Amino acid sequence: MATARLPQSDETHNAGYGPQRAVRQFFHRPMNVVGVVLTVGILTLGLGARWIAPYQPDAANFSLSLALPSIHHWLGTDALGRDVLSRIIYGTNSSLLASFGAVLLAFVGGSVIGLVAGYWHNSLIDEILMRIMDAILVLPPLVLAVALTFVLGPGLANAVVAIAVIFSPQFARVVRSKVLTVRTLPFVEAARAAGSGHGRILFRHVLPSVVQPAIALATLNIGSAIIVQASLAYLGLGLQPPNPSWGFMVSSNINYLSQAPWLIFGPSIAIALSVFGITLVGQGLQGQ
Amino acid sequence: MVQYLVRRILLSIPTALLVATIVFSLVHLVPGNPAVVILGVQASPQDVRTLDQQLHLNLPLWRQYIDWLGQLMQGNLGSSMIFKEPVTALLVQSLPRTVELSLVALVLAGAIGIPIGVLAGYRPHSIWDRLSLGLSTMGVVLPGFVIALLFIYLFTYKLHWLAIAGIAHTGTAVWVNPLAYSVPGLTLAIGLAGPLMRVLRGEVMAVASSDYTRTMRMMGISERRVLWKWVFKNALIPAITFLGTQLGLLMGGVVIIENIFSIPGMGNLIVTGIFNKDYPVVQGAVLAMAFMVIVVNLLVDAMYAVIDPRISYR
Repeated sequence: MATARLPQSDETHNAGYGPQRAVRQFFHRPMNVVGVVLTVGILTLGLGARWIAPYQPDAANFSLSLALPSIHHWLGTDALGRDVLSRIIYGTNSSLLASFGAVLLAFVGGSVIGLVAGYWHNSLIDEILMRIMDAILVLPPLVLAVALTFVLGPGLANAVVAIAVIFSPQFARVVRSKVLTVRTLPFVEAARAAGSGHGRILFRHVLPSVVQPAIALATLNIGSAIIVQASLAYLGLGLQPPNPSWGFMVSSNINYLSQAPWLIFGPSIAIALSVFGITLVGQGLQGQ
Repeated sequence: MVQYLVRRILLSIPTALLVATIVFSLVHLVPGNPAVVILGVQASPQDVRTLDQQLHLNLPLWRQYIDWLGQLMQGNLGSSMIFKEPVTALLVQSLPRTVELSLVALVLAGAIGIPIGVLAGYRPHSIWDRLSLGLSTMGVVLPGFVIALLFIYLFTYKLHWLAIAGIAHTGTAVWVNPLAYSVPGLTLAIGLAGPLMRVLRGEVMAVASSDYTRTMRMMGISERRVLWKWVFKNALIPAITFLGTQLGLLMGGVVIIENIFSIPGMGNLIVTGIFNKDYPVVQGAVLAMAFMVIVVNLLVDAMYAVIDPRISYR
């Protein structure tokens, strides 16, 4: 599965050291600032939905069906007279929860698999684990996620598991290849000579030195996870109605495309801005 | 090279087998009885038992697996529980639509991505470079269904270029009604063209600054000829290989796009199969898509071996 990588113009920036300098350099690039502002804004909307949203997400008002955007309803209302803006704000929760949760799960699961496979390099367990990871990579990611959510049953938690499965092979591969270079280094040998057990060597000594590329991969994957989550929700396999999710808001209002385009493009813009912001931050962090 | 190709083909057999195993375990290792999921929780134990027998769920798992694999080898994927037709027959009907849609998407992606990508690489920071940056950003941040709806809105309601009836899909082949494939193809092409442009841009930048291009210029060959005859041709191979590797992503897009435009292809088969809880159909269609990806990867590798004689294959 490809990670969301925004195309970049090829500016190079000065190498530096020290946390303060790194932070200053990070904020020196305008696109990084844009990314941070968008990400913080979206996180605020998601966490503070209850206080920020002007209406309850499922408060129907049939006398105001499909109202045009106005002062009272900035993005208009849907067929049931529900405030679109409030539904988008509440929808932030499920979208962010699912994508961050799925990437975290893939990060942990994939890293453990990569650690084990790399540490017992060329063993049967390495062979089995990595063959399975390869086979998952062959399956078209969204198709696998759709099939998994289907057999697990539609719902947010299952969508998170499905997305985690399609993202984990990347983590396993990155971590494994890093473990292969670390496992023969003197400090690992020393730990082994000192009589540390496999578990202690793996998690205490090997893990800290291989985790960094996996973290970089995670920040870049959150954007793709939002897209996959929205696509699952679009097919009705994500968070179940009446709870609002961006993808399902789009698909359930598809018949109003000509009549009330804000029903479609409101949540679409929310998806685009959150993917854009989070991916910019991920790329900025990776560029450090 | 023949040896390389044979080895490559043999190597993809275990992958295919493993993919088949994963697709099998998708349905069978997941908690809960598929029969209960299909019939609903209120179903009587009798009905569940009947369906269990019908789906051979009463046999031990290893038996089910061996039987399923044996049937698969003979090209039998079971039959649809809704349409009462063999899954293979449904796949044979829907495969051409998906292949046609994918080809339209690939051709359009090439038509958009190749010229813009080459110009962007040849003249960095020009208007073409900016255009490629904009288009590929759009492809990254917008899910396929948003791009599709944006195009429908733009082309039918705002510009009135197309009538909704004109792009409505009636299950015909691409040469019968090419218009029905235009917007869905374009939607999928945007997602592919973006990364393609960026790959080409990088390749062209590398080739354009190479020694032999400089020699060409020194020999007085015109800029245009240098660009299209040497730079472009050398950048094309990695670009085509890249498109081949994106097939998995394309298949994911196909599932959503076929659903939006009601194109009766394999993606639609999966989605309707899911809503009908038609396990054999979903299983068969997912497997067929995965096999398609394996075969195309094989073809891309083979093509690469034929086109590029520089690389020696162990």
